[in-house]
Amino acid sequence: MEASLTVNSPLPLDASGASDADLVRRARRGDSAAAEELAQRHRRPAYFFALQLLGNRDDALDVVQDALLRFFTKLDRFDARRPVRPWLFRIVRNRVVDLHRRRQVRKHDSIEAAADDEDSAPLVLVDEDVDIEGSARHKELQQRLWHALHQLSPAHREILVLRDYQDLAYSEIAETLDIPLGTVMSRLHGARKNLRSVLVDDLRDLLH
Amino acid sequence: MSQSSAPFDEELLSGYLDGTLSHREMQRVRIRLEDDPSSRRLFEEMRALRQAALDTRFPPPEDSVWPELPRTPVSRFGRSLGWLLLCSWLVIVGALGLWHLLRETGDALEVFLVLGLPGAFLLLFGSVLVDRLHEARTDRYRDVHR
Repeated sequence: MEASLTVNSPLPLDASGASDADLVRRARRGDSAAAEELAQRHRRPAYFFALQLLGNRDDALDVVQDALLRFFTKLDRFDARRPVRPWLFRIVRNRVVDLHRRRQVRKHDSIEAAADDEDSAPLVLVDEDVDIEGSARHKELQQRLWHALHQLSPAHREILVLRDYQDLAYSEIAETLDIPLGTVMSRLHGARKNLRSVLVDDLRDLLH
Repeated sequence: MSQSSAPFDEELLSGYLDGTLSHREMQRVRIRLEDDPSSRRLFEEMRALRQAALDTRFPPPEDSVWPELPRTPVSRFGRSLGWLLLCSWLVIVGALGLWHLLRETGDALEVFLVLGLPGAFLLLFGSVLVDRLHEARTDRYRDVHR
């Protein structure tokens, strides 16, 4: 019997307390519950990662669904001793890059291309009723930061998202982006300085 | 050259912010922050931006949006085998059909009727491929390593 499964059941995150490595091993042997728990544990962070890179909920959902499918299809190739999240994030990130590339080609072919600015402002996605902690200034800074993030180059945006939004360790960032550990700090610092230069006026208003 | 007179590597500020430095490097950064107002200002702004990012909350998707996924060995095997069979069938049937057609008919119209559609698709695919290859030269994601 083919045992494809739904991930819609209301299992809480980390229901079993099992490690990712255990879940991966059990999922490979055909344990549907382990696969489901693995999906539940990581799909939301993966979605947020895609959302932070793309700035669009529908695109993020498409990308993550595709990435999850690839993740589980290629589970046999995954080294269970390694952390799951950087690997899944790497798949997500590659799907995001592919999506951007496809969009670029389409835009290039479109007769509206000339009127369409490639670096136009991204969709604002932080909901009005979303719980943003802190003062009005802090909230304003978050909004401007979000807009500024999408004016950066893809390489700077992704490393900032991984560190400052996803709070990944340098080693996990290196694994996700497939770059040497020593490169992480220098690229991250370059990204932070670029971000600061985009936000220079806002920072003066909001911080000083 | 003494430690204090060595040029200061500004990237250490990010390492300090992220808590990834050695004790000695941290000490260098602390001294730098005490002595240099511009470094202090840069550090404070980077810290404020990181905190703003960490505090940002995004609306999660509904649980109902997640699809059924093939995750068991049986379903994965079935999917792989399905694709393999489909591709093999297309290649074998296409090759056989083409061979028979070219061998048994001398009618150009018949050849056109049979090969026109797949030929057109191949040409269209080829034109898109050429555009993509051309586009790749100016791809802004070219330096994003996969």
